[in-house]
Amino acid sequence: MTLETALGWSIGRSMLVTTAALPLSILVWRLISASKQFRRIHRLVTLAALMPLFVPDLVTGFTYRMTSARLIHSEVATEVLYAALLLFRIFALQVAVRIILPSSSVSAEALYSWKLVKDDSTGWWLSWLRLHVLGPLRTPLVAWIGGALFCFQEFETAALLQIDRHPITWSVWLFDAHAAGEPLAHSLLFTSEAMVFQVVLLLPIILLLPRRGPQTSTGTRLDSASRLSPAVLAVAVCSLFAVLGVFIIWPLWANGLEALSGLRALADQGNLTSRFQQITYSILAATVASVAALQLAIGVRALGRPWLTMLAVVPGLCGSLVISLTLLAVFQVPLLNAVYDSWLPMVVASILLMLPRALLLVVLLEVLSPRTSIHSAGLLRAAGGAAAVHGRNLIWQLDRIRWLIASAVLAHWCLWDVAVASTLRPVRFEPIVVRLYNEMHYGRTETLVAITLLALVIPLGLICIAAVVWKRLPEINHP
Amino acid sequence: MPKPGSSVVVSGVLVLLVAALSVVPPSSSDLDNGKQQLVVYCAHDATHAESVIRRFETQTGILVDVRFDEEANKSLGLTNLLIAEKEKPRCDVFWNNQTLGTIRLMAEDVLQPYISINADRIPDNFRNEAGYWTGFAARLRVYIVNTDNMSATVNDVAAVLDDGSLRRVAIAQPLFGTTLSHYSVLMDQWGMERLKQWQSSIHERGIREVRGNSMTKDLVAEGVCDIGFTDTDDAFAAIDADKPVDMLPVRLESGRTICLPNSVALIKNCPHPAAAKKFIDFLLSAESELQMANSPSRQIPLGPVDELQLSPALLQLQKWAADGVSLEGAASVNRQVLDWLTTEYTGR
Repeated sequence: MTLETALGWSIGRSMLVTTAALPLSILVWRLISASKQFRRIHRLVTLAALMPLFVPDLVTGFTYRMTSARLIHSEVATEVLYAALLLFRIFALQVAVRIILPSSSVSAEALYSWKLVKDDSTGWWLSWLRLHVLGPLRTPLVAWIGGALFCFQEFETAALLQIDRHPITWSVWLFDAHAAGEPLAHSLLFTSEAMVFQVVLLLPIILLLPRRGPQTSTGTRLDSASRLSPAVLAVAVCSLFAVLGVFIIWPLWANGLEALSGLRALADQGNLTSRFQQITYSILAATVASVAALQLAIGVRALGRPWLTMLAVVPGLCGSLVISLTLLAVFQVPLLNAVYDSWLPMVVASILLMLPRALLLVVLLEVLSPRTSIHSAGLLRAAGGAAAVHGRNLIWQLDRIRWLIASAVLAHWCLWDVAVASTLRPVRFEPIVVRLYNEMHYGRTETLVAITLLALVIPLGLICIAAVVWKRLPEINHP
Repeated sequence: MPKPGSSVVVSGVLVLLVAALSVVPPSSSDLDNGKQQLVVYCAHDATHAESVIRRFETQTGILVDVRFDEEANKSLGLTNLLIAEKEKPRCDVFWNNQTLGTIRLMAEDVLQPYISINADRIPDNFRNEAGYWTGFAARLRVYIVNTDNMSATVNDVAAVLDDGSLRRVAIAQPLFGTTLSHYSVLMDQWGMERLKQWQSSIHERGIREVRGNSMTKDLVAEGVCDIGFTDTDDAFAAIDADKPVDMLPVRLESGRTICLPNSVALIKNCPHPAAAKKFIDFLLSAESELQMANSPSRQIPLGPVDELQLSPALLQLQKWAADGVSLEGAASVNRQVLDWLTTEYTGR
């Protein structure tokens, strides 16, 4: 199996899956939009739609690895299973893109006006294309590209589901090639072939991302929700239930009961404290990396140079394996070797890996940030007395909590990335995700499930504590 | 939202903070207590090796930092990591769960010789004469058989393997681990041409190749496949979980078995050589071999131990291990086999 064949499989799969996910994501987006009048339902539906993005690959891979193993006699069935799991994740990503992107500045009224005034000169279609790509097609296009990139880069679920021969992904192919002794230079060369596809996909996204600054659209939003027909409603609701079933309910059903006996086993073995310690250290490293990535992304956005944006996202697009192996080599250089056996290589790799996602989150926060409201809340806070308390609460709701959630989401992704953690960790520190993979390898399902539960619950608790602390902190950055 | 200018400043401060943090490894408080230190890279399963290492710490007071060969990190592997770090090693002792990778490190000039005071209890064919590495506590390559689907007899297994479809037979990808060692032994016995023919034949007959011995074991234990090539420790994991499986040793045409010992080696220019030598002596002792034999992974003692403390299953394994083929030939062709397999699997 050559790299070109593996790339062919991966490109084909990513195109098909992201295309198949797009109509589903549009239907669910319409459901989300239609539910806006019922605030609680709206939040629940949005959460359900985005949930697959936050379920660790380890949990999904572990839950479905034996399903995949049982399908070993059918290559088609194995591919369908993998593609289905990807489809649900991509669908969630595409819904997220729709939430991220503001309504286009090319309104329905603008398009209508253009039709009225268009002349029949030879270049009319170019202007038609430009208006539509910046207008009604922008969100689906970015969602489609984002889905294709996500699908193309996926590695961990593929490895756990044995997508390594027929069918195959290029990421697993690269992993195996390196395991077989290919030098780093070759691995980088192989990655560059995969990068061509990713850069081709990425360029339009960078050009289509909104420029920094307030986004306003005075016309009618082109993709705004209309009243849902019963058929559309049924398909959207079924899709949501399928997503919840595949990523939440079935994994909980299949593994949930073992969590309790696993916790008991950990306590009996006297390992509970050390696992707590491991989880805390892992969260610390992930938090430092995620906050740094977020701050760098803000800096990159502030400078507003497309080439700089490209430079910031390219290492992340290489994937965690390539980043890890490259940094491993870099930290052997005498100048850097003193800090090789420390947190630094792991944290730097996580930052590089997270930068593309951090940039997307920063765009999201820019888009969702109601600047005039925040300004008004700032004035209220400055007024003193009861108004100040109200102003502080408003600033918390409109601004700070959003940054906290963005940092938490990035930290969550850092925490669960296994390639960086296992390659670049200092000897004295075993990240929790590495321990989980080992528990899986040794077939210790009970403790695996218990530790996974702890690794999901403890960060949630810490986020709540951070929220309480941050809410009470005095204002520093705001005018 | 933070001001753009301030965000750059925050980034700088954060990077400095990380750099400052980075020179303080987690649990650095232990270093301050003035205790002796040791860094071990261990390819033996963490769940089984940890208790051995903790016993060493208790006995000697030396603190051991261990890096295990994580399942998640097969792409790098401890041997590759040791080669990458060889100019300035942080590791003192390499505890490998087989031998061929250690021999490769010797060729790469990563090891230094040390003849342990306990080395002479290990048979000559399981240790390097100059002391670059010493074997102990072994595993065997075995066929794991699903007894609900077929009987685990030599004849029945041979009947399936010698002819017809292999769609219900599983084997791990031979690019790494003990399957690579298995292939190297076959290459040593048969030569490259016959090994290629065999590989091509099992693929044509539909053998199921998976990503590790553990998955091979799972497929057989769950009845998806009838036979799998794996190691004794994986087979015992299924037996202990009350799965309907049994095992038979893989035997070569000469009747020899494939016995793959753990090996231990001292790293060249390691930071803590005195503590490292103590650890090697400890691992090669009868007590350590016995402890590993009585662990769930049932590692077979290579040196003399008190047989009264061994289970009947272990005594049976010892007999099979006594028929083990010499691994010297396999070690000499290991690189050649890996090069061929790399071409085969990556198309390069």
